[in-house]
Amino acid sequence: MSVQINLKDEIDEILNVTEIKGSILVNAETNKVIESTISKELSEDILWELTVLRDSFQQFSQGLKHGNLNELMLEGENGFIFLYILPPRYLLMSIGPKDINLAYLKMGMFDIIERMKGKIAVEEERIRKEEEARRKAEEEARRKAEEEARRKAEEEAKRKAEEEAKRKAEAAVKIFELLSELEAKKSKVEKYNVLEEIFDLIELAIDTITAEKYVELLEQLKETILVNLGTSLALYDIARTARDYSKLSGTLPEKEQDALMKSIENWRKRIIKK
Amino acid sequence: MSRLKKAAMDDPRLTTLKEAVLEFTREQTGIKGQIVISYPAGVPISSSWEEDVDPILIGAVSASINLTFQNLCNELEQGNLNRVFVNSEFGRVIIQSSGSNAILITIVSDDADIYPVAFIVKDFSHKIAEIIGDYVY
Repeated sequence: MSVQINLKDEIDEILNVTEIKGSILVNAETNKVIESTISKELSEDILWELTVLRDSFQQFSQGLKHGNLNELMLEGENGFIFLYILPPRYLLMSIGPKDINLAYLKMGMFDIIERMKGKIAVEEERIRKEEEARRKAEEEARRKAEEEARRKAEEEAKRKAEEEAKRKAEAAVKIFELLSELEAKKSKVEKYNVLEEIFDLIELAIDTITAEKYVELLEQLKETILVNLGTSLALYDIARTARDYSKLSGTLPEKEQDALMKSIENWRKRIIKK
Repeated sequence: MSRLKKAAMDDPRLTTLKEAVLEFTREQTGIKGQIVISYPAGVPISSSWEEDVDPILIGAVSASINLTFQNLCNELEQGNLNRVFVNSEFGRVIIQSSGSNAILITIVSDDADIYPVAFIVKDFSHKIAEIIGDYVY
């Protein structure tokens, strides 16, 4: 956010209407000189120290219950340095001669400092509004992005769910196709690969295939394995499972689904020997 | 026991200092209280100011007199720094060195004419320097 405060007129005015010999306006947040009517260039270190001290003296004033710090006046052997606090971020430093009339200076500076504070307040309000507008725009952009991301995620989830439902719906048909395919394969490795795919599909569609369909499917699976891969103790288990399911109807209860999942893993290990 | 109280018990000069500060504050109109800071330690060694102020803040503020503000005076060719006036919304403070080992903070009443007060305080700062002598916290 750019701060474009212009207090040159006031600083020139201080030079023209008071006994002040020169002033420097410093941004206490950046430690940069904004305006200067003195030829001397202050080191960045001292500007930094002054801005730190501004805060320390502000706390000191509040600690003494003196309220906000207005001004620091440094009396040197050869003259005065006046440090005016211009909240929230400026520091005005003015140099006066040793014999300066402090009462006149105070009267002259009072009005100018007040006008400077007024200008700063207007600028700060502009910054505040700009920042608020920027914040709102960012918030709106973020809200839209979040909405778009949520919409896309919902679409993706819907698409995936549809795809899975379709795969599940086609699983039973596909399993029977694969059983025929298994028979057609020449090598045992190929047959095992097809069998892997069959077990995967049974697992995928475990909650959609009906018990009646499972009876048919498991019977055929047992026969196909027996003919193509030889006998196994697992075949007895497959046949027993088919028998158990013949007493059920509709999709398998959750408990049966869990048991079938375990059985499939067991059959895999016992039948497939790659 | 606070560091201030302990220090005051340890050195007779600090007892004298304490008496002097209390008497000065009591006798002078326009002065609400004073705090004497040992320099360069930045530790309060005597006070007639009744209320609590963060000692670390006091240390930072007092150190600025001999460091940052003196450097600023040098850079801007204003010579040696005599004192600093702190003008706030509801009160004023004068800060100045008392010899090379102490800094005197004077809290001035709202209605007091600050320049005569500053004049008297300057004399008192010399007295403090004499009392303290070479005392270093």
